[in-house]
Amino acid sequence: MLNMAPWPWYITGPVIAAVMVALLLFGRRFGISSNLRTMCSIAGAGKLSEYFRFDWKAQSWNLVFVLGTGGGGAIARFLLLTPGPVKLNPDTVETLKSMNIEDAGSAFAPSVLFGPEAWSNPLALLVMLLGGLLVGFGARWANGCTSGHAISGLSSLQWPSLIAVVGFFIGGLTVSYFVLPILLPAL
Amino acid sequence: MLRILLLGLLFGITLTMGEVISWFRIQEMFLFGSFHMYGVIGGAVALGVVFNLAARRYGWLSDTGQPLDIHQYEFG
Repeated sequence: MLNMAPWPWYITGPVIAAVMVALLLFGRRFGISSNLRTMCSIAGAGKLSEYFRFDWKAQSWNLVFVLGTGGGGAIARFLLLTPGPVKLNPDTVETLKSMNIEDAGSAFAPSVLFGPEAWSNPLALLVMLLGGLLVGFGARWANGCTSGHAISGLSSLQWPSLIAVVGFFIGGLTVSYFVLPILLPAL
Repeated sequence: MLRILLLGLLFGITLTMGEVISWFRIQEMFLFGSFHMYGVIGGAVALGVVFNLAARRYGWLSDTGQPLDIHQYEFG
């Protein structure tokens, strides 16, 4: 509606830092995936494991934060951001097209995985489901995700977070260079 | 709680406006095609480090007078 251009990194990065700082000054802390534990506890997972027996009500503010994050995404998508493709490096576009991602450079996200046609593609559904499971497993195993470790943890100069972030990156590189070239053309 | 919701809204708007949630941007990062994502993460972390060092040095507290809730990650 407002047709704003996408924000450059030097606006996006500082605003993310400001959100983290504001949460700390409000007596909270910035970390998204701890909500997974909270949601499992609410759903009654405390019956299965000690890990989920904790005072989740003290964490319910974080669910409000995530609710806002989803709402903010919708506001930006439908009211603020100019509808249009993510302008990618032409080399990246070529690489992705060679893996059958035809809408690289002309969409916001690849429709084969995120578009409505994914619902009728069993392999795409399986990949998304498996991806979600791995994200959830990894975030709890590492005791944090990109927001907790890369932003909160690195900002407070913590070694475990640096190691976790290096691990995230190695994982991403491995999938990008060795898994996706086989997986994406099969979708 | 309203301010938490508003912060969440700002965070969601930022991730979207900065295209950080685009699968394409993330893929471009791993293929080393653009500085964008590195600038976003590096910029946020650099400013976060400055804040944390200053908070430690000057003993900044949260608005309720408590020490800042900096989670101490442990090797486990």
